[in-house]
Amino acid sequence: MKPSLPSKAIPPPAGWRDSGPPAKGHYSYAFLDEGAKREIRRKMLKAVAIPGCQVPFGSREMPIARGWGTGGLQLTLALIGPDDVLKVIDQGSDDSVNAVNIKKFVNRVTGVRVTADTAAATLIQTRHRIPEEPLRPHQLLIFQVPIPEPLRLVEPSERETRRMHAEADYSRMWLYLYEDIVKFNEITVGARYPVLVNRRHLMDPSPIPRWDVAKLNRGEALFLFCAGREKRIYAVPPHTEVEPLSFEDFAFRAEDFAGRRCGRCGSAGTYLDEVIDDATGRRAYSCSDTAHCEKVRRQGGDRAADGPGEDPA
Amino acid sequence: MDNGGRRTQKNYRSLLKAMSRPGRLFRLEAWGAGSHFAVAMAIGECLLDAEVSLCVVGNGGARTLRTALIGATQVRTESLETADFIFVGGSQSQGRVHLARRGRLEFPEEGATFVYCMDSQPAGASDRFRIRLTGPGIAEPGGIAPEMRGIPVEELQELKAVNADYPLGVDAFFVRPNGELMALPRSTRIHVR
Amino acid sequence: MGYVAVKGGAAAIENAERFSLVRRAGGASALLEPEQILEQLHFAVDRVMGEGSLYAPDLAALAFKQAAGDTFEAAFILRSYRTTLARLGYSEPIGTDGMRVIRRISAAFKDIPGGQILGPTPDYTLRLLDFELQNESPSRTRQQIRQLFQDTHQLHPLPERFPKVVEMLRREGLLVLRRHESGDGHGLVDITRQALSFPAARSAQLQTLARGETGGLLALAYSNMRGYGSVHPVIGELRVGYLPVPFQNPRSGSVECIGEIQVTEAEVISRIAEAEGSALFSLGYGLCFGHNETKAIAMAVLDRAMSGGEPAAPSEDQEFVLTHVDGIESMGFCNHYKLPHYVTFQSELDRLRNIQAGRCGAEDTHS
Repeated sequence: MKPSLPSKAIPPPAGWRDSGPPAKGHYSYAFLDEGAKREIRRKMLKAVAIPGCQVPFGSREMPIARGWGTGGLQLTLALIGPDDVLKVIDQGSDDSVNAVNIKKFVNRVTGVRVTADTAAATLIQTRHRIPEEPLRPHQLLIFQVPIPEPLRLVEPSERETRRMHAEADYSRMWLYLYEDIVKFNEITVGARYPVLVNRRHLMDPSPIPRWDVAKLNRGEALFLFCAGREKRIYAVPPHTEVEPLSFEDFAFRAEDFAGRRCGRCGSAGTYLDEVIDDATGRRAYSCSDTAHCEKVRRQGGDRAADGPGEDPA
Repeated sequence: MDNGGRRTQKNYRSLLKAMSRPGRLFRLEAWGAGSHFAVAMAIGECLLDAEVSLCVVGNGGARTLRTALIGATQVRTESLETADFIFVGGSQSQGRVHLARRGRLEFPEEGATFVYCMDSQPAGASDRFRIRLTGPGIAEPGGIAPEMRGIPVEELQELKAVNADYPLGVDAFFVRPNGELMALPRSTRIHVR
Repeated sequence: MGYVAVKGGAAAIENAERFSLVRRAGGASALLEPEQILEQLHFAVDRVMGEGSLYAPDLAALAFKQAAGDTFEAAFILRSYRTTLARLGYSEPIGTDGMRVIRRISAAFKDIPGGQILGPTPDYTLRLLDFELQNESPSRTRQQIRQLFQDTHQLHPLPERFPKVVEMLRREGLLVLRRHESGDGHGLVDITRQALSFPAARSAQLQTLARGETGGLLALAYSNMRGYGSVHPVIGELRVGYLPVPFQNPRSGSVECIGEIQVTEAEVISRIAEAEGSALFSLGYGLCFGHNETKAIAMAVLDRAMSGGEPAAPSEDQEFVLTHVDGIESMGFCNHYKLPHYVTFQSELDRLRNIQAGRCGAEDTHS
């Protein structure tokens, strides 16, 4: 850490004479002041230059609570401009209360157009999912990250995990997975499955399901990750190797929906949300990516299902 | 959003695109068409302020550029060995790349950022097809030649040597007065024929 | 059976805000004025100010009103506002021996130069619920206050400076010298501009503690006092008072006082367990905005606890303490569990079902 307190007075900022407390309700474009944006921008560049490496930054407090997406939000605000079109999703849904709240805030401080259509978006801020539609080179996907450290599962100390990354010593994570297999004949890690990026850095892909992990490997778009509370930024450039940890004789497995389809649009190859009906105990399935589901539903005649895609049991 | 902020935001997006697609050519917007300084100043506006440090090396205009950058951004100045950002007048660092910070294993991101402020493109054949770039951000498995012409092969060999201990290393931008921009992060593997 | 409603998020948020308004202001009582909170709930205001990390008592009072008394929320609102403020400069360093004290005590010595000044403290009151306050008569209260100044005899003016108790110990050579920080001379770090990394510089440590949440700091300090650690503190000096804020005028270059801030300062003395050689005292230091003695003492105890060698208890582990005392971070993360987690949960369900069904090795990976 570098000391930043000078011993001489700081030259007054431009417009000193006119400056004073901000007028009520007056904020900079995209809320963050230019200094905060610049720091985030510098750190993002370093993160892209070292794929998968967590870069610390001076995360600012935002009007939404820590743990609720302040990291993703800071990246979005540092990147966004009037030409952008923003999509915000949570658990795959544009209408989740948290996604709506974030969209409201960003729109309020930028006036930027918002959309639910993945293809129309230039910036997509997401919590816990990657959209089903493949992303294109001009799009940016910004992940909200609660815990950026993949090794936190095996080591609580930041100092120690930093050493492990420095030395590429990931043996304890391998051991953890191995012990799982021995105990349960399964790797029990669900979401946040650890991946190796560019054959060098172990990375936490954020709590996306295993289903989405493959989309990180050699993608078309830039993936940016940010943890506001833990104050870390990391990135996966396009066309970068991202491999989930696995053993020769024990392959990485994604979630299995046993051939079920979405009850709303009929899709068979999407990540499904399971809903259990209180009264009957029956289970229904529908696409987690609600926008994609809507699109397919509107487009498809022949793919539409007759019922709620219930579990035959 | 005022015009300065807007231009900075757009230019930053180009810097980010360039760093995530090494070897590819992008474009920056600057005031005052074509001046050497304008493009370097455009990058300065995006990235420099009192929280980071600068060193300017290279040909004649170095001192003027440094003064202009300090005036516009309040960036601190430090020696080459400790500076966060090193602006190079021209396309050759005269071996100075070896002196810059490469970061520590616990904090590889502390490695410096170089900005090569190149002259307008020289006439004549380019060496660039002797170079193959592979690594993150590059789609072609066989690699690509750098899209920006006129970067001396020797300089790229120096960068290759400095970045041999990945993740330690430095990251570089190359810009021309006409706004051409290309980046080489330390993750890019440079092969020279 | 119906599908889960997927629309309506925006409406739900708006209604939630309206319902909160009803809860706060929908009753028969008169609406609170921030000034009332500022004056009559001043301890809450000081706590919010300290945890919000912004010296602005009137804004802290406003935030406390807005948050309907939730100190976590109020401090959060203040921090969020702080983010929007441009940084104009830095004050000169302030020595606290020039504090305009309203309270100044030492537990280490019976009598100290300048005297023990009890000041306004509830410490020695009997905590009996005062039912008279239910119908407090404004005129009677004002009369009581007038009486205080009338009845008091000729007052001796307080000295302008109270020498520091710890200075006396320092002069006697009984205080161990603090290790100097590594670094380039300035040695000051700004945790609002850089992420903490460990081992953290002392300036980062003190800043983190100064804006820490009072209850969190207290719990950790208490654990140390009770035996999960070895501080055994004695309060060398506790002061509450006003400090001038000196600032260099950017035009004239002269240093001027731009205002005063109220702070609480605690210096805690604890004996070092030296392996060999002389036994010495070491100092733990606490300072926070406003009048908050519990926090200042807890802060000083933790400051001392973390300065030892190998941590033998959580309160001695710098990384453990500094990572977990920020109220905005801890409250945010705690409450974030209310956000939907059904996608990750689905992933967990999948794993557990697989294990239970005893399936192994037979499925295809998704490609």
